[in-house]
Amino acid sequence: MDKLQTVNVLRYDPAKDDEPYLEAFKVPANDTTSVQDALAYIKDNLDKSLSYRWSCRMAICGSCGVMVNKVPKLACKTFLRDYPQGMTLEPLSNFAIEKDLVVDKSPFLERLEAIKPYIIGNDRKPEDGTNLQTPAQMAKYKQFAGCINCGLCYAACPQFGLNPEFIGPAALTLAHRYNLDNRDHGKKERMKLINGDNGAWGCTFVGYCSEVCPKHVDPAAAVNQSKVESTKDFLIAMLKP
Amino acid sequence: MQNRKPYVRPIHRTWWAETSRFSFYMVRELTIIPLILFTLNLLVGLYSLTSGKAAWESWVAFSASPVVLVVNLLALAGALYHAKTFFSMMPQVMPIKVGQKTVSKGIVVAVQWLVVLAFSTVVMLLV
Amino acid sequence: MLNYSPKRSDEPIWWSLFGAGGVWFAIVTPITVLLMGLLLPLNGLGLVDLNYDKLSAFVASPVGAIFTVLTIALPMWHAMHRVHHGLHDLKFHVGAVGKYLCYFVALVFTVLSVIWVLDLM
Repeated sequence: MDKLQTVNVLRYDPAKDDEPYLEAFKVPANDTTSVQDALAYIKDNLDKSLSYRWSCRMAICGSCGVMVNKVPKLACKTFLRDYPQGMTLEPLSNFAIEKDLVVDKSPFLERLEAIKPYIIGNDRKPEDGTNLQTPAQMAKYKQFAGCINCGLCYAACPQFGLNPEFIGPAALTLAHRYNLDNRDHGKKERMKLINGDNGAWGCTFVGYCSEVCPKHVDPAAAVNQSKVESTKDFLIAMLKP
Repeated sequence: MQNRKPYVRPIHRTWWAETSRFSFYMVRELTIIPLILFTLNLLVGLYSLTSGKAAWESWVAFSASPVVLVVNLLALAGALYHAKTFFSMMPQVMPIKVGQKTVSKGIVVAVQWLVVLAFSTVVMLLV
Repeated sequence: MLNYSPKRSDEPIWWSLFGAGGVWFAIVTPITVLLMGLLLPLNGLGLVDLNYDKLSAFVASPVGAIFTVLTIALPMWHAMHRVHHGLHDLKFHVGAVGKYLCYFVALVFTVLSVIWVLDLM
């Protein structure tokens, strides 16, 4: 049976408000009610002005990231049954709020683009056929290829919050993923960004990014392995005249 | 686009106190405070060793004061907590492979604790 | 706007020292604190005997000399790296001066430990 559960939502209307405020809603919930369902209920029945992002409902599009009781979560993958005391929903931390639960993700997208997340310097042509990889070659990067660009790791990263110039977990992980791919030859171009103070070196291994990642990509591992790579790169640059 | 007015939430100096996850991070970072004090006292101890037996004895007496003992106790707790965090980060920074398989996190952590235990035992046997 | 051609960071130097110090802090420091910081001032609690002659002979031996310098220097490089980043975490923006001051402290510890160990050799 559905019972009423409290869902507090951080509201902000740029046309009217100077700062965000919490608003409480009562949402009927049962064991299958996700946060996304709750938001849909609020929008359909209680306040049609509520803004939030969503699409696939199945943890693959990466649109519906929100803070649930200060923890970055996918709304579609988080259920009200696990929050019997009620919950507070806020837009993803460390991003500017556009309206209600919608944040400005453009700094995140800019970073993803900046690290060139595509295969570089491979002159194979379509007529050469599939570029085969051995299972071992694929295993090197496969874990880091599972990112859905949801941005939860940026909301979990205090270093990104403290230093808006930091390239951040997901983008550095994607860079590492391509650097580990034997079909790719673009490592040199990517190392330029990784080697900077705002590249891998902007990280202090808080490690929370890996805990909140809904796809178990382990960005903290990728970023810190990139520090090892950057250190090797530093040594080579020192030794070469 | 005129209606855009993005709101940037401020990050307070006390951000690490807002969730327990970040508080543990700050505890990890703060383990260096008693470490620095212990190491400073150890450096002074080394100096007293160079200045003869009398200086050494007075350094030992100073180190026996309750404040120094408490700092050193904190340094020991800090070192162990640091070890716990450091060992668990190791498999992420430098994953170890045996053949095709990555050695599991649990084994890497356990081996590191065994090294601590073995090293400490050897030291205790030597003194 | 991101800086697409940033300057290479000198962090590999400090991070390597931080890493080496971190290993020492985790593996060697616990027993060092137990012995030198707790048992020694408590007269060994009847478990160990750490007297002046024994310790000065240890520090004067080649292995003991290297061990003593590393025991003082490495954890300090680790610690001062964390001080540097910790200040940023606490929003104290001390800039390059603060950064080099941190590592200078670690350097002072290193140099003093080398001088005093050599003095005993």
